[in-house]
Amino acid sequence: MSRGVLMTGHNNRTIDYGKIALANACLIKKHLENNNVTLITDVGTIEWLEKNYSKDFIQSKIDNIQVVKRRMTQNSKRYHDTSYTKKVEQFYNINRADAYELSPYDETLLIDVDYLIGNNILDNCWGLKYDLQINSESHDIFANRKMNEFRRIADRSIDFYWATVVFFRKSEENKMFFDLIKNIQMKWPYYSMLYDFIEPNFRNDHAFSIAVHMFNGMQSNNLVSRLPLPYLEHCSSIDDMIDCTNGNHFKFLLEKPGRKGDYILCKTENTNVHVMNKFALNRLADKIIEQNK
Amino acid sequence: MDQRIEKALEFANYRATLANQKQRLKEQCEANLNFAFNGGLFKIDQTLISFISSFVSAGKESMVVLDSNQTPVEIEDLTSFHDTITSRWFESVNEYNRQYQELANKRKVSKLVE
Repeated sequence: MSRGVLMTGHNNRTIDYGKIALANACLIKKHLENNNVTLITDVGTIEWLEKNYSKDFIQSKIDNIQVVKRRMTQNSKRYHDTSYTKKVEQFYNINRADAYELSPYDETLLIDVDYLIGNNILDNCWGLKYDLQINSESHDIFANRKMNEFRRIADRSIDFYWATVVFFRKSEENKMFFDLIKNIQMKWPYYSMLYDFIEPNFRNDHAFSIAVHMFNGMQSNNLVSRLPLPYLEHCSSIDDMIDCTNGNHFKFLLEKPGRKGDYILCKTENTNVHVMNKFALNRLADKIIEQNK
Repeated sequence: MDQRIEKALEFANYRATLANQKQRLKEQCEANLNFAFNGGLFKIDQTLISFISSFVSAGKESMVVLDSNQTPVEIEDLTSFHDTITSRWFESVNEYNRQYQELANKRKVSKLVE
């Protein structure tokens, strides 16, 4: 039974997803036992990565690189770098639905490149009998800040599930699950109306949430299991990630709710963190790679 | 600004950072207490430990336990399962306690995130 971690990363003009993927691959190699890494990317991203890092080094951290065509989409996204800067850029990483076909593994841990691995807890997912594992809960690493937008995909709609980390085994059922996501992606305006959120841009989390809801028989139940983590942990794009040491100590500046520019310091240790500020990740990726070579 | 107010605000910042770091430790401990066994997913807590302990004490060797998703999981060697969850519990909670005590003795924001 082959097992591995799958990431997708397509650069846009501003964010070097390839470099972030390489940094995270270094952390995966360091912390996880089943640490075969596959990156789904495009020619431009990989060529850019190879300009900065040697082919041998990249191959030592990313075992398998699958080059696909980067789809031209009108899927723009607002990227924040703290409250002070924002930039609208194309978001090309919408090929999550293809993960089932593109994964070379029988058992796949599909993670976002910005979900930094800081411990080995996800190693437990391989031993569980649940063929599909996805979490609906994520805690802000700033405990006082509660964001309702991550409870449900819209106020009157279904539970929010995080496509940030998904475990799946290749099976008939999971094939259906990913086919469903493809269908949701294809008919995005219809589904966004049906599920009562008007969002012109495709969002992986929303598509997975809808698929889980449909897969559960249009009900809220636990037929789809969570990962061996009680919840994911994240920091917002208005926060800044300022340091990383040893591959498992991350430092952040977290903005206090309702107080722009007023931060508290935060340190996480042995914790996986979903870092939404991609600019901060871009700034720190070299350091993470250097420390975890 | 009045120096007393400045001092109070600095202390407030320290308290906010301390509270957040304590929460980080708690969540780290909670994550470590998740445990995969025989295909099932268990959250180790006092209830699970006492529940299993009571059957081990009564001489039961195997039983079916409901995991976190309320799915039945067969435990063939109950004593070994009990030993594993208790040792994981002690490891995680003792580590939590050690780090918590360390944190409580730090009086500066910079020290809290060292």
